[in-house]
Amino acid sequence: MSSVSKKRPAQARTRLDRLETLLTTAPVHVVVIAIALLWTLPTAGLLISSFRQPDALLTSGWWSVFVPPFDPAQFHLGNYMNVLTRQGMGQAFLNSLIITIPATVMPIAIATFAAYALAWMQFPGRQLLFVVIVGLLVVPLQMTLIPVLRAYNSLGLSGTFLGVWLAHTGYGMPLGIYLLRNYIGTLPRDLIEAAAVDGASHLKIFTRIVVPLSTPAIASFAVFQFLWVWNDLLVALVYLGGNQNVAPVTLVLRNLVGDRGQDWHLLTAGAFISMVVPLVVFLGLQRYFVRGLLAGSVKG
Amino acid sequence: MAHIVFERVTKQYENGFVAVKDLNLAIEADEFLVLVGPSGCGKTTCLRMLAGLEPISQGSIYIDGQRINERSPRERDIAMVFQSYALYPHMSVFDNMAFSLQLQGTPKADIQQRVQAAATQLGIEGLLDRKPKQLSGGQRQRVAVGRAIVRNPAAFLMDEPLSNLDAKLRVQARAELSKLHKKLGTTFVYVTHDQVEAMTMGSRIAVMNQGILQQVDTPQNLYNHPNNMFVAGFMGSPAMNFFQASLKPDGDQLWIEAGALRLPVPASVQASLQPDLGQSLVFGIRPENIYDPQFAPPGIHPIDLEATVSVVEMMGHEMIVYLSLVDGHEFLARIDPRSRFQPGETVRVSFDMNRFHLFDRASEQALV
Repeated sequence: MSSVSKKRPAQARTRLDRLETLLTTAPVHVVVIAIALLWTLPTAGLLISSFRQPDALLTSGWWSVFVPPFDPAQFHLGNYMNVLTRQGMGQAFLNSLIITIPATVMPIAIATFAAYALAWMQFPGRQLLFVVIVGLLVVPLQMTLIPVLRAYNSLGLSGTFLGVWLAHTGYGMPLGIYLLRNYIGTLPRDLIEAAAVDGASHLKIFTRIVVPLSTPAIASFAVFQFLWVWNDLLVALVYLGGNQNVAPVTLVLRNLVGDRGQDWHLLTAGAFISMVVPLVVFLGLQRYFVRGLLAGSVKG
Repeated sequence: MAHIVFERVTKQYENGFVAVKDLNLAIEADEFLVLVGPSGCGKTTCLRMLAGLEPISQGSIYIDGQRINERSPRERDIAMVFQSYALYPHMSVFDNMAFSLQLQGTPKADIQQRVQAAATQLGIEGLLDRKPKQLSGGQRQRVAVGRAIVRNPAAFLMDEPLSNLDAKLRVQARAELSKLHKKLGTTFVYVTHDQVEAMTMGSRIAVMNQGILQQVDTPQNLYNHPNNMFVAGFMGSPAMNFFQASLKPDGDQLWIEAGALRLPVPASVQASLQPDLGQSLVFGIRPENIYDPQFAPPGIHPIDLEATVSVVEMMGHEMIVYLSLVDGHEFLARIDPRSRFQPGETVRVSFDMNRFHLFDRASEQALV
């Protein structure tokens, strides 16, 4: 009897609690959804525009497609066909991949090694070196364009893929080392020491323990670097020049718009095509963004 | 099996803190040596210097006569079990145990067989495919030990390997480690702050305090004949009772006077105490050498005195009684559970004067 009478107010309380939770979280949800909508609006506009007729695109805004009567016939795939069959687009895609993949892999490889050394190896000047590298984060890359280009010209690297790889590697390295060192530095000391006592050299500790346990940080940096290089126009334009044989997608897209910017039905479609690759990369790396990688090692 | 020698080893950190000072210690091959002391006493630092995880500031460490100061951990042929176990979280139990063998380039079939044997020995052969996070605390501890024994190293170093286990499991693991030591016959160096672990497992115990080695001896000798007040107070729970005291002669008899206490010195040790007449001393007696006169066993040398009971803790198999003398000095007694002592009562208790300790107050060194 007493247990029943005790239960009722408890139930009422949970219902009240739920209402209270709803009331307190609802504004947050509304704000989050509003921000998300606002953020996707330009992309949605871009997507809709890419399917519209060039004439319609120039005479009315993308939101006019929602004005009744709704006419499916106003959409077509012509813009996409046009972009894909245009001279140089296929080559540009290939160039972008040739540029981006090494320009992502190289800084990751170097930065991970450097991060391990800065976090776990004892050598004089270690802290100073790290501070200098972090300091490089604030140097704007525009400052380096002229001296590097002059150096490339005298070394014969301008207009080559190698030149762009090296440039992107250099630009990405400070952030990479900073991110990875901070992550690798938080790995439990006991793990590194256990491996050392088990007979592992620094290289073995790095390859067998540190790299497998650092995949979330490495994957995050890979996404950053890939997106940055893939979307980069400035570095490619400066170091590759106008050479169409090595031009990446960003350069070709810029040329698609036309001299007076009149062809932006092509730009919208082209932009969407170029967005596919980073999206695939992000989704592909998503499985490495996992929590709890260290569970079971040193804590209960 | 390895013979390990610490020769005048000192560890000073960059900030000037001296963690270990002038340590001389020889560890016999096949010995189970326990390094014990309060936290911050330098015991773990000793172990880490031996493992090669911490550089040695001064002095030398020898393994089988070879100076190993400059050798990296992997050149020392030692295995270590960490307090946190430090299992590789991304590897299966099998790979955790096989890791060191793989690094040595041991043939696969050999690895398979040795890991299997070690796992069977520790009762974890069913867990070989699991990841560390799928294991309980006790299982992880076994894997950590297993990872050490597959290598068949010259010495095992253990840094408080049982401190993360619950009380019941700890008692069980203690016995298992002792058995393992007997079976393997290898040198074990075991660090703990728990004097029960030290007493139950060690063939010899090295007590450290503030970076200085206090005493090395068998558990029994350490308990019965502590070198100084620190060792006397650290080993044993509840700790030894101390009273400020001095020696006074009265005719032929020597008396220990400590506030309200006046205790006759047994004839057997009177002669050896003559030089300490008039010195400032400390009288020490363990709680289990104080009895309720009703239940005092035969064969002791009982001296009765009055004390007031303040707290009684009934443990079932024994009673811990907090007592105070007329002068207010408090001490503990560990007495027979059948005793009827009640809080607030003034009772008579017996000190066994065959089992007392005297220390010099200034140097804290033992006299008898």
